[in-house]
Amino acid sequence: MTLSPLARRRLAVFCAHRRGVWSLAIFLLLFALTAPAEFVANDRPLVLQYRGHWYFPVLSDYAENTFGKGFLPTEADYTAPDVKAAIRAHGWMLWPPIRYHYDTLCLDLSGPAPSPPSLAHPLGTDDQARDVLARVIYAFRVSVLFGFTLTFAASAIGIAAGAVQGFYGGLVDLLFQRFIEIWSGMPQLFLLIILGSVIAPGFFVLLLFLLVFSWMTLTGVVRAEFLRGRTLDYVRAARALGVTDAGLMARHILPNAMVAILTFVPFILSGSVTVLASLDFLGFGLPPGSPSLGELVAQGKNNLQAPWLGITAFVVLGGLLTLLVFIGEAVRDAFDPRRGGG
Amino acid sequence: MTLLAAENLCISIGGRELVHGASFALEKGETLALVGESGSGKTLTALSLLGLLPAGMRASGRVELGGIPVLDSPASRLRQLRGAVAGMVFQEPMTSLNPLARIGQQVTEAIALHQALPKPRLRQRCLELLAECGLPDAERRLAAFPHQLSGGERQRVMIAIALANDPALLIADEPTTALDVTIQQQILELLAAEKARRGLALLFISHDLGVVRRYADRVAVMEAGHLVESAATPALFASPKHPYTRMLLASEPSGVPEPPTPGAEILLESEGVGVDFPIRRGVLRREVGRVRALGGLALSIHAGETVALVGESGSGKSTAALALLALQQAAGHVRFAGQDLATLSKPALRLLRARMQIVFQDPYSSLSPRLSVAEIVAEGLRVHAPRLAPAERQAKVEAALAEVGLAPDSLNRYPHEFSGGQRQRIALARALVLQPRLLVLDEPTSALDMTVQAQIIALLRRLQRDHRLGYLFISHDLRVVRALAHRVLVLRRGEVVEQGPSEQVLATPRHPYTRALLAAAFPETAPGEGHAPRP
Repeated sequence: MTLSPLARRRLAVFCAHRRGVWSLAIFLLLFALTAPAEFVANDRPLVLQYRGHWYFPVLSDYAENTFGKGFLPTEADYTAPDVKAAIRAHGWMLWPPIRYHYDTLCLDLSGPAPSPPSLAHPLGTDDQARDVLARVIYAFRVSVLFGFTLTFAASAIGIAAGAVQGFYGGLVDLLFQRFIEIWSGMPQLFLLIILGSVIAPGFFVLLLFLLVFSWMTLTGVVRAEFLRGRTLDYVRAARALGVTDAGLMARHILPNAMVAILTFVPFILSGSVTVLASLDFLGFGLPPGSPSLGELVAQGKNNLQAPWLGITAFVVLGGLLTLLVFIGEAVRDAFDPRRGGG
Repeated sequence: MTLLAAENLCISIGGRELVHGASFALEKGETLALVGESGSGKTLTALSLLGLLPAGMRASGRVELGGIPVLDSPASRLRQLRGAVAGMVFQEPMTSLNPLARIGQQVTEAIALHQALPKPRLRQRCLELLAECGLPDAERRLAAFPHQLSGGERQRVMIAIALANDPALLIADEPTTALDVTIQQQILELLAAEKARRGLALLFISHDLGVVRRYADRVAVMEAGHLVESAATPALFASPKHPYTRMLLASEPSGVPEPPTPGAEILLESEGVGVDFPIRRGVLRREVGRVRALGGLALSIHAGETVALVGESGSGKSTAALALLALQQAAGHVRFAGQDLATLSKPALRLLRARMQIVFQDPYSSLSPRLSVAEIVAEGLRVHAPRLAPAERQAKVEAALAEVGLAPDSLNRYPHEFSGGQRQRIALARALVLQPRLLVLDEPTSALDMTVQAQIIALLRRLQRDHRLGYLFISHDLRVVRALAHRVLVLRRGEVVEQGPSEQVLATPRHPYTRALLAAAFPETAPGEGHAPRP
């Protein structure tokens, strides 16, 4: 694929933004490490060989009596010493680098939980004796995925709504604007508390709920761009050619409105990450026990005697947001027409 | 004594030279016109005379203004020169006045910079200046903001500011280009009168040869940073020496259109087409009145015929174009090829659009910056012949580009890589690829340089002859209209004030408004108010 000269110039501006490029590289590396979290931090071996057969405990569950007649037909606990010994006797196991799942209870601690950082637990354990590093890896993944999904879904709805408003203007615009004003006046947090008392919101329920209230962020910008764009000469020219309304919006106005949209998106992304973290901190977010940066912040607050909890939460959350903001700044500069991008 | 002398003036940016060794001189009370196309370095040359070049540009050579070398002077010395020895008037009065300061403030500031006057004297001087520059009701206008003034009035204020400290030299950078033709005339007369009264030297930058011929004593022609020829005005116009000057003079729109074929079919017919814009007030946006943008336009265009719609900005020309193509809600009836556009369904109208196309004034804004030339030209085919094989589509696009004189290698380039004239050709190709019967041309040449304008006019004539196209030609420039149009309609405030065959309207105008437009377009032939250049 060949890039248009415009895209090439933008790429050059982005690459010249050292901080942004480094942030993007670090972010991609961290995401690459945490995305396959099950393969990085788990209390099951990645692969094991037992009596000449291959087993993949990360991918599927095996009954414990697979590994010897003396065990019960329950799900295998690979951390149990006798199971380990039985497998070792007739084969071998390959463990992930971190041998804890986010909900693994570590029973071998030297003192009461939360225990301070040690060789076995580089970031210590939390107040329920779970390995903080493992939890951070899973939490990072959840935060990023939640942020990305929410941002893309919200942007798609917001762009569509703004496009229709701006393109048609008049009564459509008027009614839509009033609707948005009313809708954005809804007390989101209270509704979430009510929702939380009825059902335990999981990842997708929470996503859907936040989506319902967060799609309006981009609508204003897109609406303004379309209001301006629909009277531009090249849009008129396309209309005179007989291009349909949908074609005008998608092919002629939207590409030129993308600059305004793309400069916003990175900041919406970091906003979405923050929203999830703060809901988890307050206890209205993901179900109890889920790995979450917000929950870790809450633990740090409740266990001031264990500063590694608070410090870890701060560094990870702060670092993630900083990276996203730096990337966002570079993207914004790349699309800034005054820097030769537009 | 020579007031201004520039010798071997070079201007460069980052090692690239933009003006190559220009030399000229200006005596007291003389008018020197700097002529050339956009990008030829006229404005840069003028800016360098007062040390006003944009950051990053460097001037070398020797410039002396009133005996003081400008180029190596310190900033404090330059500030004494600016305004006091030489004043400057820019092209666009809306952007050269501070939108947040009142007129009075801006003029008094200019005076106070160089003269320490007590407050009442300052105000009096300010009033004198504005009155001298012909701002009506100056007393009351002191408290007005720039947006409350018309374009011509704003330019008068700019001139008052430039003259505030009795400079010996006035540099006017295209002072009338952004103004309507009839206002242009008044501003030029004002400049001529001030020059006569104060013995002012005038450095006049323009691309309009008609104006230059009438007001300048000497002309210097610039081409791509070179000052190619400099001579007294009559000599230059009578016997241009440099080939570029000859080309520039020859590019004045000339010739007449070929006579239309008699009995040609009617392409477009309109009856009582009117456009009103509602004025809404209050919380409920209730309609309290209407602005009539266009009232009852009736016209007909035959195949192979050009009908010109003439008028100043705000006269409703462009609104008429949009209304006739049903791109704008309008009252009345428009029939294209016998079908009433208002009664057609949306898809039927879309189908008909292939036969009537529009080309806009500004080739920079009428091409989408995100699409390649191939995509832009093929857009109409995507809509009207969606099942065309890619090879066939490519062939049609190339044929359309060849028709307007563009090489096929422009296909995969983007609009910003082309010059204004080439872009206008792309816009024409986009319209022509569908083989329309009618083309609406909304000031297609007014954003272009003179030489390019002549090329586009020749191209339009050829296309009309080859395809028997009907043109609706919209313009404020009667010189171009004379070269292209068979019939003329003069619009003023949305109403047709005069219409008829073009030679009749242009030779014996009946309405005073038409006469004013004519006087502005053809100053050399305007009867009764000749203003010969001073020797």
